Amino acid sequence: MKQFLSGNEALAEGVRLARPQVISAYPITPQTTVVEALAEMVGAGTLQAEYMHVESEHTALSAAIGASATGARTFTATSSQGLLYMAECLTYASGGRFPIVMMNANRALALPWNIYGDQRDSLSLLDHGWIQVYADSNQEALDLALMAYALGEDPAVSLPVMVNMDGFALTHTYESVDVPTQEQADAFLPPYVTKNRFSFEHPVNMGYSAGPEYNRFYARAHHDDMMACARIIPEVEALFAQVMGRSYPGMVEAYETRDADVVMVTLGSVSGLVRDVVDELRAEGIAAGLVRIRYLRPLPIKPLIDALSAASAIGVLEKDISFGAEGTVFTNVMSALSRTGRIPPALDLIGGLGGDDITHAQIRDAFDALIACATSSASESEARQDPVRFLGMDDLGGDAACL
Amino acid sequence: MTEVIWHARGGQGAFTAARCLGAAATLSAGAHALAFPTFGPERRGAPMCAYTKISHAPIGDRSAVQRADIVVYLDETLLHDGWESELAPGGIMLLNTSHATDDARIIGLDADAISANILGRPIPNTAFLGAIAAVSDAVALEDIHAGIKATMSERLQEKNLKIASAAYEALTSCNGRTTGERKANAREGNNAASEAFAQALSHAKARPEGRFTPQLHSTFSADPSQFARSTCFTAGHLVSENAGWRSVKPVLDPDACTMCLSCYMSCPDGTIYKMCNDAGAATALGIDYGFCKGCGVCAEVCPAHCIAMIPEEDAEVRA
Amino acid sequence: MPLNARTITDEELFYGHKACPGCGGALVVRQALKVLGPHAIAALPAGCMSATGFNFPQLAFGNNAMITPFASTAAVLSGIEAGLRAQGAKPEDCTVVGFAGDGGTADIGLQALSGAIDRNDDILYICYDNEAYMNTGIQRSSLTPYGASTTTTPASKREHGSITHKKSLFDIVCAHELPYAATASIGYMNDLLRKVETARNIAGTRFLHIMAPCPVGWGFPSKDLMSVAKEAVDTGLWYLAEYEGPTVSGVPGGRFKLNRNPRAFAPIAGYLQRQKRFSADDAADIEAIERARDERWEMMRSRWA
Repeated sequence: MKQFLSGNEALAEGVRLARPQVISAYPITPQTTVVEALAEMVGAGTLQAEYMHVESEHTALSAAIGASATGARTFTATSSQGLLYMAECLTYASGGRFPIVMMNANRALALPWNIYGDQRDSLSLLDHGWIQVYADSNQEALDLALMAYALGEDPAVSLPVMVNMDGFALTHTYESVDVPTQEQADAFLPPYVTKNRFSFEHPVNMGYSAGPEYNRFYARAHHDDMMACARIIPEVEALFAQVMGRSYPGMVEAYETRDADVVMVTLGSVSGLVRDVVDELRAEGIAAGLVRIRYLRPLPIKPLIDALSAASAIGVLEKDISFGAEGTVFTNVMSALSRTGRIPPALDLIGGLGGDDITHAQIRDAFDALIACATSSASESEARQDPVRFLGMDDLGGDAACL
Repeated sequence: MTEVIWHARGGQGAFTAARCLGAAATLSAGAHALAFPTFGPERRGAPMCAYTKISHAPIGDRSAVQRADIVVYLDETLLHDGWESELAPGGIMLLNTSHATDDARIIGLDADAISANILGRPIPNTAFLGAIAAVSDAVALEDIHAGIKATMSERLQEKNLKIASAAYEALTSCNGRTTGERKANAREGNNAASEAFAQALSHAKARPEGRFTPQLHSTFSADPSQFARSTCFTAGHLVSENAGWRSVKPVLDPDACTMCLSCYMSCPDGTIYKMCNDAGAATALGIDYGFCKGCGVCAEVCPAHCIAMIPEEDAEVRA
Repeated sequence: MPLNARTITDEELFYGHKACPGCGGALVVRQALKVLGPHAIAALPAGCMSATGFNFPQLAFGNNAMITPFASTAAVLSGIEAGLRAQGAKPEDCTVVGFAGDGGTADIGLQALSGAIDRNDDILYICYDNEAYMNTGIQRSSLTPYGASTTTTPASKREHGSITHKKSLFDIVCAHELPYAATASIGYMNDLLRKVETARNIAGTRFLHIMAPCPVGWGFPSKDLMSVAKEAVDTGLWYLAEYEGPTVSGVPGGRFKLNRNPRAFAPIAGYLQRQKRFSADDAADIEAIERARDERWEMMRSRWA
C-alpha cells in the first residue's frame, strides 16, 4: 500500500513488518522519530515487542546483545555521537555474531557540534565487524529493514547489520513509499532460528575470552562470513523481488557505466542528484556514469572493479574526510581497484560536511574536473599527486598560526 | 644472543628477576635486552613464564623464547618430562632444589635456603641472578648488582645483593653442583599429616558427576570449524586442571571429621565434595585434588582441626 | 527449609576457574549460583571472575553465562530478561543474575545499574566487592576504603593510601526504592545464602553488595580468607543490612533493617595490621577510619535499627 512517509517512518514500518521481539533505543536527533514511531506501534499493539527505555546508547546496544543471546530478534537505532558512545559494544555484537539490526541516521561528529547529515559517524566505524549498508530512498530504507534481518540472520552470515540513512535528507524527508503487507513480509522473512543462544536444555557459555592460541580463528571466521555476503546478498534480493515485486541491484548499483568515460562513485542519498546530472551529461553526448555503493562492508570488490576499471577517470563523491589522509570511501574504492593493476585517474570529491548541501552546480563542476583528468595529462598527473578536492572551497588562506 | 626462560608460579618474582637481568645487561654490561612475562588469566600460584633476551645488537624479535640458553625453574614442582625441549644446543637448566642431580645439563641451587637464610623468607628469584652471573658470559656479578640496584627499591636492595652474591659463590665454589640439605625440617612436622593422607587416600571416592557441574574434557580437538563461528560453546567445558598451582595439599582425617561442612562451604573452588551412602546421606567428604589450588582455607576453618596442609612433594613421596 | 550446608545443591556451577587461591569473589559466585540453581543465566563484565571464569576452551560456568562490556552488566541483564520474556521462554526458576566487581559496579557500571533499577527489570545484580580493581592489578576504585594502599594510591610520604572513604553504594542503590537490596559478607555465609534466596524469590530489580576479600590485593595469607571477611564485619567496617522497597514492605520509602547490630566492635587495629594494604597507616589514620565507622553506625542505628 502506498503511503507518504518520512524516511524514519518508512524505516519504522519496515522494522514493524520484521516483527522484532526486543527494541532498545535512546533518542538522538535525527534518529528520534524512528523510536517514537516504534513506541507508538508497541503502544497501539500493532507491534508485539518489548520496548526498553534505556538510559544511554551504550545500554541500548548492550541490551540488544543480551536479548539476541536469548535468540530474540532485536532492533536498535542511533546516530552520530550516540553511535560513537556505543562503539565499544559494536565489537561485542559483531564478535558475538549477534544479528542485531541497527538503523544509523548519518550525522556529523562534534566538534563543532552539528546535528546535520554527513557520513563521518558510520565511516569511522567500518572496522567494527558490522555489515554496513546505505539507503538511497525511503523505499529502500523500508526494504532494507527487512532484508537486513534476512541477511544478518542467514546461518552462513550471522552478523549485525547497520542500515545507514542520511540525516534529514532521508530521515526527515517525505516521499511515497510502498508498504508491504504483513503476509508479504512474513513470506519473505521467517522467524529467527539460531544455535548461538542460551539453552536451558544444553547450557552454554557465551561471549567468553579467547587467547592468542584461538583468537585468530574467530577473526578469520568473522572475515570469511562477512565475505560470504557477496553470495548471500543476491539470494536475499532475489527472494525479496519474488515476494515483493521490487528488485535491488546487489552490493553496488551501476548506472550508465558500461561505456562510461567518467564515473562518479557515491554513497547514500546524494546519488539521486548525481543520477540527474548523468542524464544531462548523456543528453549532451558525454559518456558519464554513476556507481552507487550500497554495501560498504563487506567491501564490494568485484562489483567496483567491474563498474570502474574501464573508465577514463573516476570521482568519489563523499560526505566524509579522514583528517590527514583522504575520504574513507575513496580509500576503500582505491583499495578495491588496486587489485586490477590499473587504476584510472581519480578524484576524491569531499562535500556535504556538517549538512552542507551538495548542489547541482558542484556536481557538474566535479564531472568537468573528471573530464579534464580523462583528457589532459596535466590534470591527470595533478589528480594522481593529490586527489583530494573540497567541493565549493578554495584554500582557507590566512595565517596558519593565527590560533 | 643469550636467551633465558624463567619458570615460576605467579607471585614468586620471576618477572622481577627477568627485568633485573635485563637491567643488568643494558645498564651495566652495555648490551641490549628485552624482558617480558607471559600474560594469562591465571593468577597467583599458577604456573607462569618470563623471558630475558640479551644481545650485543638491538633485538627485533619480541616473541616468546622457544629454546633458551638458560632455563630457570624457581619452583621444582613445575618441572615435568620434556623440559629439555626448551634447551638450545649447549643450554643449561638452573633448578631451585635441595637435591643433587646427575644430569650434566642441570645445575641445582638451593635458592630457597639461601634466601631464607638472608631474607628470612624463601624468595628464590634474586639468587638465580647470581647463578646466571656464575654460569653465563652475558653478565658478571657486578652487572647483576647494578641491575638489582636499578630495579628494586632501596629497602630491598641490600639483602638481595647479598643473596645474589651468595648464590654466585655457591656455584663458583663447588663446580656447579650444590650439596644443599634436604628440606628435612619441612617434612618433620608433617609426619602425622602424611599418615592421615595415606588413610584419606584409602577412603577416597571420586566426585559424583553432576548434571551441570563442569567436567574435564580430555578429548577437546581444536577444530576451528567446530567453534570459531560464534562465541557460544558447551557450558562447563574444562580442558585443564588446577592441581599444578599447589605446593601444599589439604589432607582430611576422616576419623576426626565431624561433617560440619565448614570446609565445604568455604572452598572458593568448590573442590570439597560430599560422599553419600546408599540412602543418599552425606557420610564423608572428598577433595578433588585435580582442581584444589592449595589455598588452605579449608584447614583454617575446620573447627575439629582435621585438615592438614602438607607439602606436595611429601604427599607424592608418601603416595 | 532454610538453605545451609546440608540443604544446598551439590552441583558446582562455578568450577575449574583460574581465580587466585583463596579468592573471595570466586566463593561469592560459587555459592550464589548454588542458591539460584542451574537455570540461572549469569552475565559478567570485565573483571576477575570473567577473566578467570571463561577463557576458551576452559569454560568454568556450568549454567548459561556470558561476558558483557565493562559498563554493561545491568544493561545486558535487562536485555537477556527482555529477550526471554518476549519469547515466553523464561522458566519459573530462572534468575537472570549479574556478578560485577566494585569498579564494574560503583564506577563504570553505575549508570547502567541505575537504568535497570529505574525500569525495575526483573534481574538480580550482585556486586562482589574486593575494594579495588584487582583484575588489572590492584588499582583504587570508589569502593576502596580510606587508608588502603593500592598501586594508584601507593603509600608514600604524602599519603598512606586512599584518601577517600568508601562510597556508600548501598545507599545510592536504595535511593532508587527498588524492591530489595542487601549487604552481605562471605564471612557470614548463612546470612549471605539467605539473602540470595530472598532476592531470588522477589520480582523486579534486586541488588546484593557482598564483601569478598582478596588475599593478593589486601595482603594476607590465602588461608585467612574467611576470618578476614568475618573480622571486617565484626569491626564494624562492613555491615549486614537489608532494604525492602515500598512494593515489598508496604512502607513509603521502604524499610531498612540492620541484620547485625553488636553492642561493641572488635578492635580495628588488629584487622588493619593483618593486611599489608593498611601497613603504612598511623594512629591518625586509624582514628579517621574509626571515626568514619562510628558516624556511619550512628546513622544506621538511628534510622535503620
